[in-house]
Amino acid sequence: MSRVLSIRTTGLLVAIALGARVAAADPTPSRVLTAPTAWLPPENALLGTATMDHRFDGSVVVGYGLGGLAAVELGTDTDVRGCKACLGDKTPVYLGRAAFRIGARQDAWFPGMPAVLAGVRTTFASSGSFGRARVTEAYLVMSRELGPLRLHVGGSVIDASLRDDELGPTLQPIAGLEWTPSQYPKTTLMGDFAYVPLLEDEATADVTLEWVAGWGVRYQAFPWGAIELAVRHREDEGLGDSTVMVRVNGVWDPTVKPKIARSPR
Amino acid sequence: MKRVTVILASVLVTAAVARAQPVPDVPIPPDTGSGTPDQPPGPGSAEPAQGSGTNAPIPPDIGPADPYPPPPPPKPKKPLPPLYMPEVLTTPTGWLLPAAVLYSKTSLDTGGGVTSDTRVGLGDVAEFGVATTDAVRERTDEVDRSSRIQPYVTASFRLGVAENRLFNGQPGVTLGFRKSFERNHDEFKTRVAELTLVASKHLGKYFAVHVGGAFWDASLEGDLDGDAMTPRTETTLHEFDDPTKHQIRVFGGLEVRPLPRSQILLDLGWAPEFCYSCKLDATEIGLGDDPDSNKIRLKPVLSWGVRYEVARWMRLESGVRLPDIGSANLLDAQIFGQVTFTSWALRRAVDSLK
Repeated sequence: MSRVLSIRTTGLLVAIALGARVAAADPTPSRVLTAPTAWLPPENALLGTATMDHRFDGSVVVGYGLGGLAAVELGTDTDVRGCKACLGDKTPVYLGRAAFRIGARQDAWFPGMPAVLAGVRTTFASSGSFGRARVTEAYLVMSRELGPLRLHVGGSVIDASLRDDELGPTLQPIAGLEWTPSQYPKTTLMGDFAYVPLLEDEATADVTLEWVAGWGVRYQAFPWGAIELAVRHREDEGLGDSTVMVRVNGVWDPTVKPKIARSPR
Repeated sequence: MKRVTVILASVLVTAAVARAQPVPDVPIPPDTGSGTPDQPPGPGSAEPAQGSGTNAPIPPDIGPADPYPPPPPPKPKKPLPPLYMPEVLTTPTGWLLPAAVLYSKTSLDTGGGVTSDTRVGLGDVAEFGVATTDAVRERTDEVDRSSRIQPYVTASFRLGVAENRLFNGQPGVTLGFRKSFERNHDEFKTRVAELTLVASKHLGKYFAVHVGGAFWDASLEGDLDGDAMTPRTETTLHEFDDPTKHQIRVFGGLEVRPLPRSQILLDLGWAPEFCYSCKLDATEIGLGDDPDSNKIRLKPVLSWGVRYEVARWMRLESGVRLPDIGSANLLDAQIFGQVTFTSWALRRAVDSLK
């Protein structure tokens, strides 16, 4: 009986997946909070994201939609943390990073197909005593709109080095979920899960991975911009040490002409 | 009497003036030739009959010449031939630039590399270019992390036959030679040279494939044994035994065009790496092997990315490059962006002189 229910449930989920309303164009945010999405910006669109947390650390990333097939991003962020004595002194490490993302949109090859994206993000600069830190991640992620839900699932190969220590390519899962209630079409609840390197710059350098889980709310104030309030928890971090942050997203799509209000004759 | 004289004079002057005026417009009957209305004009009747009196046609009224005539309509421009790129991302293609077309590419990557490449097409059968490359790398020893030597200036000359020129279905084929200028870096003097033969073929509207072979040579001169007492020595790639193993490499690439102005590109090429203190030890050395043979090595470079044709004269490319795919080191991955400009101005100028 339970097996029949399971099959029915699976069938129902597949039917929902195939029959879900598909937006005219994919959404644009390249990350839920930390986990990457498979959304690609439109051709020639410019994206901008800025984050500020309660410790006044933050990030700024700009992106460009390349030919409708790919996107390039450039910016700095504090996803990675580092420590010296590593006795509760973990601090965000500012890394200059560039990313290249290539993929296919939802329904591009067959109806019901999720958006699929392969991306590489690597460092070109790092801050302070972590000046020789290098972090590179290559990921494959799928995203799909299922009615009010947006699911993101994938895997990421992460490698990082600090001085002479190197993590080595490590495969980890990434996941994200977004829900836009029909009663509040401009509001989206978000949650995600990903892994990031932790740089321990002690007498001997050590590089490990720690998980990061985030949740928050996005309010799509304008067609071209949204504001988010989110909380981020990390492994080996007490609840009081969680990071509260505000993020703003903007997109400028030159193919979308501004609507001009016409007075009735 | 005086009044009569005045009246006569007025009449005469008025008559004279009236006579001087042209005849009023009289509708001219259509020219039916010199024959009668019942008889069509014969072959010899095209010329008007001289002295035929009233039968002579009235010449058309040609007005004075317009001092400001409208300019002649512009000559229709010849459609420009298609322009196929001479490089996939890092490897050469079997396509040449059209004659007198200028090409300039500037590239930037996250490893700090800045390169440029300038070319000109020669007569639809050749191409000349000068470039700076950051593909040549160096390291001190086996445990050292390799770094690029830049700028490394090269000159290139390629000649070939365009696709479908000799027979239908023939791939584009080019024979290219690229040679670097001598580069002094860290008290070592290096040079590289590359001879390539590559064929490129479109497979339908959306695919193209490139396959080629390269014959490399490189030289390294300096204090190779690390002993300041001995004089500087030079080692070259062609001195090593088994040139097939050390000098010949196969490279290739793929192009897919899923959207009219966007292409996905993938290529695999090779780049030299100099290792100043590397030496084969007794366990690695084989029969006939040169102990210095790992001072110059060719490393495989894998690149993939997207080319977007912003305009006919401008293309943006971006992607990922792995400088040594053999070591599978993800940390060495570089994100690059490059912009390519092409110009037909010289071609038009040359055409206008013909």
